[in-house]
Amino acid sequence: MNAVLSTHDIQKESELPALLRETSQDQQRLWPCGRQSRIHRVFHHEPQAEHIVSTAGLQNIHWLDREDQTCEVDVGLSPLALQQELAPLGLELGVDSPSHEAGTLGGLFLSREVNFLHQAYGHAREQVLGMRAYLADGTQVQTGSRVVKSVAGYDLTRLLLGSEGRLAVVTRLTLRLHPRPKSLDWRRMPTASWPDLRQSLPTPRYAFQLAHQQGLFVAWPSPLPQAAARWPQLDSAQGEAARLELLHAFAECPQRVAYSRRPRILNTGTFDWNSLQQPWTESERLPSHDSEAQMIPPRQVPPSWAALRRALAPQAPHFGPQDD
Amino acid sequence: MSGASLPWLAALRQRLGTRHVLTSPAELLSYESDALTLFRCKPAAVVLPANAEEVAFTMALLHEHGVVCTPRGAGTGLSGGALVPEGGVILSTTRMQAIVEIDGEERRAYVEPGVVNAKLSSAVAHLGLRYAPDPASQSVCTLGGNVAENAGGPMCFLHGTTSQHVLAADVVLADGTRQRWGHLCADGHGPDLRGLLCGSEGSLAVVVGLWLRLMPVPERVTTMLAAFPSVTAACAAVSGIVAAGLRPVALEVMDQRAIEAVENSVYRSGLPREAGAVLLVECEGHEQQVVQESAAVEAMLRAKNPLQLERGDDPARRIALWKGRKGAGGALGRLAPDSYVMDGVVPRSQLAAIMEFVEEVEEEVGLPVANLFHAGDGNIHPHFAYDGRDPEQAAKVERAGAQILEKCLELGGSLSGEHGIGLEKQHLLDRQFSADTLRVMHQVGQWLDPHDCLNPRKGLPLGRGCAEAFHRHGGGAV
Ligand SMILES: Cc1cc2nc3c(=O)[nH]c(=O)nc-3n(C[C@H](O)[C@H](O)[C@H](O)COP(=O)(O)OP(=O)(O)OC[C@H]3O[C@@H](n4cnc5c(N)ncnc54)[C@H](O)[C@@H]3O)c2cc1C
Repeated sequence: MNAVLSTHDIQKESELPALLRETSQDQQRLWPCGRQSRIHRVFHHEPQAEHIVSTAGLQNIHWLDREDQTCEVDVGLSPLALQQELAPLGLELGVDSPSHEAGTLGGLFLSREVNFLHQAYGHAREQVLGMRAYLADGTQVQTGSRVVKSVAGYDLTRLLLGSEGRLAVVTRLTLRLHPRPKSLDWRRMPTASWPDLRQSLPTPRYAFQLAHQQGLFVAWPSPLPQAAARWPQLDSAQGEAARLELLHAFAECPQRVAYSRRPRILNTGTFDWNSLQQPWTESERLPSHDSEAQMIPPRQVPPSWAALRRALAPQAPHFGPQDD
Repeated sequence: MSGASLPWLAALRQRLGTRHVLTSPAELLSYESDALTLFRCKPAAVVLPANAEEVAFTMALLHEHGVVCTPRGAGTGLSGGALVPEGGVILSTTRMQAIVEIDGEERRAYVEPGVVNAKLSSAVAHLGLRYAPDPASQSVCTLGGNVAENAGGPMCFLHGTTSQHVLAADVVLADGTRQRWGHLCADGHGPDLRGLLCGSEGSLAVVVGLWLRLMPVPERVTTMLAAFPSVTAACAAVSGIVAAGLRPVALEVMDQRAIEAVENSVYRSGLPREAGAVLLVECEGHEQQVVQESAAVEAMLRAKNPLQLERGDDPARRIALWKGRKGAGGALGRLAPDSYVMDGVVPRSQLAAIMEFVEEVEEEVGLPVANLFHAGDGNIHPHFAYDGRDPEQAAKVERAGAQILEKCLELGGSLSGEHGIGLEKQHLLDRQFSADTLRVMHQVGQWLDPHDCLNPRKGLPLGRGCAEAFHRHGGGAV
């Protein structure tokens, strides 16, 4: 295990290039992080590197364009803080996740955080239009653009998203925003099976299940689709308060399932399949990589993070977690 | 170049069959350019592999012989992306047209790259599903080409561009290696090479198979067509709709020149000739949602005092309202021997500003420009009508294009929304990205294709001077 030699709480981006150059010269590992909430959850330990660089102190909203529904923000801002800025403008970020309060936007987009709003707005990565990042050798890279559609040069944003600090220290994000629905209609369906629900109803905005509560929680922006009103229901609620209450319950529930196209198990550690009314068929569980692999004959394993990092900054091979 | 004596040609003929390796000048003629005719270059050969194995064989062989190769779908690209430098080979995917698997329950399909975009939606319609990205060229262009250009279309305002609909891609690298990029479950490990592939203009890998996301056909769709006295008024209506938090699926504008062209063509659909612009708005979703949202859109449009407002709720009426917009590309193509369809993006709040600038440029060059645009995305497409036989006109058109793109950048936009950089815009890329960012892009290219064998000299400005080699008029504005 690497002993931590230094911890840097970056307050200004301009501190980064020199710091990065210095640490990469020593060939020591540097781990960029936010508030470490997810690192603790995923890796179950402190970041293991000689140098820890936290961007949690970068907290600015550089611009927020209501008409264009885009903004540029620092990675240290919490998703909740951004949502609070957006709500009075009738806007929202297209990502909702259990770690909204504790984490940072950087942690949200640079890791593989679950997105409850996957069905409404797609994958979390689709919300990021561009980034400012510093590679291990201190090079500043500005990817993407501030417009909602751009095909110019290679899309470096896609490479940085989900990299969990393995490629660069990201400092700013340009984000796509969405009109906030005026109200949400929540329903708790008693014996709902996800496949049936998905086949017969318009895509809901939220769909999840909590082990200790019976049924499946789903929500649509008002007005509720007529077909949903015809489904038997245990309970109904409306609005933001219901959302907050349920999402908190979700965050605290050890046995929970979020549904997108297929059920996504958020906490498998203590998950007891039999405690639930098996709302999916066997074939709908996440596919094993083997079954996917059968589709196409001889293929090589795609390149790893380490290979990409070597290509981008060959002189600085130690960056982020060690697990690639 | 006489290909007959080249050793790799013999090997290709033996593996693919003589019929599937084209070398005669007459056969090569149609591969000289794509839909952007400003650039031309005849390939040494065109190969037509039947499947992924033949693609891998071809790539490995060409790599071994140091021959460059460009993948090509239907050749409808509008930035010169599907051209290969002299001595190179074009790998056409036109024989790879199978829709291999449709998984209705999981809402996804596995297709070969040569499948024509519109055919996928037709093939899944009986399941109540569709493939959302809808470029105007969808009856011809291929899904492989769509991925390479990250194609968009009117519906992409709500549903996103091609990238959002690609779950995974099977690819062949420049040296013939096969890999799968992306995952069928929501996310996996390793870099998002699937995302990198989208918009990489065929320069990182050849797509040989695609898992694509399908979406349910909406319960209800309503289309509205509003005519306004000016483009500025139409843009103000767009801003009003977006600012009110409404989420239509499409927001499309056509200016008066485009209306005229349509009304003088076989695509005539009764658009008001006196209007300065028409705006098409479409809402889709479940019944109650569309009823409510379309009422709000209609009220918003009325508040902007349109010259005319029409509404279509049934399929026949909706098709009639879209007819002019769908036919506009074809109608504009008939105005002059050549047309130059530009592609730039501005923040949508800057649409009125960029359209005013386009008008100024039009006056300056003295050539007619018609405008069609995906207003919801801020994606403009000025169409210049010109005669390519006159080098002066061609040079003027290119200069005008560059001026407009520079203005897009000045307004905070991008050089391309959906047509890519290709050969057309390489020389402008360093205005959008810093030298360091471009260097990193180049490193990414080198990482996957170290010898620059795959669609070389495209997309990035590092082959500076190379665009001229393809230039039909000797390099007007470049
Ligand atoms: C009238 C008209 C209207 C259009 N409207 C739109 C529109 O609304 N939206 C839009 O986005 N575009 C539009 N286009 C542009 C064009 O149709 C798109 O860019 C389309 O995606 C190109 O597909 P294609 O099969 O013709 O590709 P091609 O032109 O053959 O190739 C385009 C690029 O893709 C690469 N490529 C092709 N196949 C593969 C493969 N299998 N693997 C790797 N790379 C590959 C090529 O190397 C090239 O760089 C329009 C074009 C025309 C002529």
